[in-house]
Amino acid sequence: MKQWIAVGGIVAAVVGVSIWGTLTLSPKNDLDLCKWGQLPVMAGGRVMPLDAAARQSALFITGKQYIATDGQRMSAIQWMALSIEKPQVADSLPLFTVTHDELRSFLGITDTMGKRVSFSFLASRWGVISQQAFTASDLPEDQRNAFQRNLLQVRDQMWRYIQLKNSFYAESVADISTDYAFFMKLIDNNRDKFRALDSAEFNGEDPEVMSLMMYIQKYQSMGQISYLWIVKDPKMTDSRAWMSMGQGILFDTMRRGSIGVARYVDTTDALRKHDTKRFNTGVSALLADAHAHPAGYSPFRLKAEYTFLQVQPYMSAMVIYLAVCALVVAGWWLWPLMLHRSAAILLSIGFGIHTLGMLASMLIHGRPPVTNLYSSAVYVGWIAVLGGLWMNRKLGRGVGYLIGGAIGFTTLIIAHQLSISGDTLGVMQAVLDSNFWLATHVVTITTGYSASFLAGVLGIFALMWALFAPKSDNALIKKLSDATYFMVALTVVLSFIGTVLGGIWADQSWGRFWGWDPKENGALLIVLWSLIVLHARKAGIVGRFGVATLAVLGNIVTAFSWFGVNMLGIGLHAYGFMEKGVVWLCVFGAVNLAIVGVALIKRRKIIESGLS
Amino acid sequence: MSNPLISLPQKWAKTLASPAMSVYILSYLFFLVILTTVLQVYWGIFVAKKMVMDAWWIWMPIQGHVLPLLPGGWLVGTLLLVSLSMALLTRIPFTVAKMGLWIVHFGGILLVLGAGLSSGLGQEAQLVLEEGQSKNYAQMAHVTELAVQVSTPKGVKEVMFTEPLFLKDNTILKQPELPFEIKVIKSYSNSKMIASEAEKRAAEPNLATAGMGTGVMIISQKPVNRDDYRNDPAAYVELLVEGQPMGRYLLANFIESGQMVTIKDSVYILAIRPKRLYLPIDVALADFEHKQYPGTTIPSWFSSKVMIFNPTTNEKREVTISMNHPLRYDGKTFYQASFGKNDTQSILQVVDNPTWLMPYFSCALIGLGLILHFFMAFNRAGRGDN
Repeated sequence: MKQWIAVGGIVAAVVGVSIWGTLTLSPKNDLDLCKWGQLPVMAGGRVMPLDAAARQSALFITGKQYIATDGQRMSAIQWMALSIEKPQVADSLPLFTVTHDELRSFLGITDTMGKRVSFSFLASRWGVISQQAFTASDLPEDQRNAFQRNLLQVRDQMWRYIQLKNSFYAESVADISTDYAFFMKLIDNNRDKFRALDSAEFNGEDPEVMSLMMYIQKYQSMGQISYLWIVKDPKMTDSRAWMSMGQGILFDTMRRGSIGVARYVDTTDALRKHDTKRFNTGVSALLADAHAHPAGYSPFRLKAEYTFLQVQPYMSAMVIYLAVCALVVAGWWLWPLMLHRSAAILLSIGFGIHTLGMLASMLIHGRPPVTNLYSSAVYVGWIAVLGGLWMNRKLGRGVGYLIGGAIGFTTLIIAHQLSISGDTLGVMQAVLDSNFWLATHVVTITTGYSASFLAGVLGIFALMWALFAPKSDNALIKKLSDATYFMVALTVVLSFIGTVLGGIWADQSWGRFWGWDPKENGALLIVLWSLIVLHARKAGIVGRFGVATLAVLGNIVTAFSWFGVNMLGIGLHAYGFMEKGVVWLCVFGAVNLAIVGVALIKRRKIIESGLS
Repeated sequence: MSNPLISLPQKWAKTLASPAMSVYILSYLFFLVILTTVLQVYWGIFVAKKMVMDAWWIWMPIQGHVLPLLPGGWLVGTLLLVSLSMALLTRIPFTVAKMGLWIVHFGGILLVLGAGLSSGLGQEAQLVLEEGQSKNYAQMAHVTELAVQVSTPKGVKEVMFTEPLFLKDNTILKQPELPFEIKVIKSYSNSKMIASEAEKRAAEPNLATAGMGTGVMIISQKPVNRDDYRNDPAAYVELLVEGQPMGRYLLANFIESGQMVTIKDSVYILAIRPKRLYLPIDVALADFEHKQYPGTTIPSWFSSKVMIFNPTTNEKREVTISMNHPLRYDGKTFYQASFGKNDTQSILQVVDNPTWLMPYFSCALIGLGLILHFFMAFNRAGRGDN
């Protein structure tokens, strides 16, 4: 009984920490930013809640979903509100990381200024930045040097920030409402002259006409620079209803209020003037109106996405998985029963949260679980946790939990890193837009990755257990070794079937079953590697020790197939080129090679301990 | 068994059929796949594939000599085929318990055979069409040919010499259909027309004595192997009628109209051009459509509405080719590959692969066998038989 209380205590503590730690502090603000964050906007080709766009932009600029500067921490949506309410304050936040030495000295960043600089600082060097960026972006991606790559990154981040601001107001405007009203009046008074714009009667020296032209130009450029399209034409029901605020203003002033852009102008104006009541009523009305006539989205899915973002299930799962690993390892020395029981329950809870998160993503996206590298990482972890839970029944000692927890934690970290590059629920390129093939080929291949990593990690455990376990534990080592072999065999089945399904998809859409494209080759490498392991065992070339070692090397093969080929940046499948990933991939490879190296050096001891 | 002449082949057969042999072959294949993948970074997919996989030997230039350095894909495939067949015949028992394994290896034979056949027989070419344009041929971006169009009373005939036949100086090209011989005086694997005064100094001596080539100067360029780059071969050729020179002409990839010559009162058009794959149908592009997700450049959809016309059967109809929905006609597959010229040009990939059904068949067998064997084997293991 006492023990169960302790288990309950541990579980409750870990779950509590995982949820508390991942909650974004709710905006302490009289402005209803929660509701504002739920407003639908068009960004990156799809409709999403404003909160999602804010988080993605914060991630893109700072690498985190929230804004953390020296003294304060604020949510992404608070930051976005700040950039409208007090642009000068938002501009002076040190958000832009510049670490490359040459770039730092080029921009005149001194060591005392720290790693991060503000937008206002960078904006004062916008001229030289855009000039350099112009030459750099002319070069093919693989020919740019480190300076140019870093410069382009900073330029893109700055540009995103500029685009965000222009989604709501034209930068030179102080009083948004008055400016809009003035534009309306100007165009009303000069409607005749405006119509004559193209004709010979047009008088370019008329001061009113000139001022009108400047206004049109101002809002035109604001519309073009917008990252978010926040204005919805109430008369339309598909995604074409969306336009930028600049476009909306021009549209309405020309035709006098057919879109109702005034409501958007008014809300932004209220935010600028911190008029709480006007802002809150305005936002509520916009939200109610949007959901009453949704265009190009489903209000239910939009709300689901908003909730998903607030809950951050993968973050909680990540914390829980880490705790599981710690508990299992601790349980080998202290209170094994209690700690391993807690680990079992926690891993199940983590798995449940992970599952709910994946189901929610599928619902929001309307797609099978794996659509891009990000979701493949989430899925590989999910399968591995499932495999760990299942395997522990045979292996015991919490080894299965540790394997599941470790792979689950690692893959969720990878997923988080991948989410920085953009929208994780983004639109699908035409060639990938097939739910049938995503559900069959992609899911099978990705399950194969999981099986292969499980084999590799089991191999590591078999080797390390034989090497380091204080008293030799033949039974467990044999079980680990059998499980490794089983997983290699499962990898052959899954990878082969997945590869073949891919071949059929390729034949359907590209007219050939196989084209030696890098991603295809990667999949084939996993199949071949697993076949080599099975046949080598069959031929007696290797024994249990050899199978375990080869399975560990299989980790490298799988990682290369999963990420490496994308980094080669060629072929039809190269949809994500990641630069920093190369380093991490090399680290991963080195770690696995090191394990194999140690195993080979201590070969005799490992074999004597039962891995023969 | 004491006769070495009998026992030696048996020993070889046993070695070939052994699982150890398969480990060596698969390991080498593993290496070849990595090689193909990595070489693509430098050479592009087309060349890497041709050099490594679609070859008996991998030829490499070493100190000026081109030597067969390593066995290529076809050789390994053949070895794998033999090994699999031997294993199936001599080692893997045809029993219920081993049925899954047997099916897998049988499927494997068909798969490797199919891969080899498709590698040898398959052809890929691009059909580049502008709206309103009609063509009855596709072109291979990375293979060039020297073509001679012969006007005969029955229509136009073409005589082709595929590269690298015409890329060797002093070669004499002849065909019974042609009343003349073509002597290659000087050839260039890649070239371009000079575009500025500065380039003039690097220009090649102009050897042309007749035709358009007399007014053009070219620069020799280093050939480039990249998927998105097309080499422009060129050659100065001399036409010989019964050994008598009839003028020197410049033929080049960038002179698209070719070079017209009149010999013995007949008109011939000579051209160096991307190798053509003639189609059984005329394909005309009626409309190309390209949609993007709002506010982005991510394509959400592209499709080509084409009119196809088969002159032998008089079949004429409209077809829409889009992403994941190719047109299959008479053994050729037309799929939407790319587009250009402000969405008025569509690029269709044309693939001719007579063995396209084989992978479906063999993979179905292997998949079935794998699942069968996997469950039977581990069920036995689970029950403790193993």
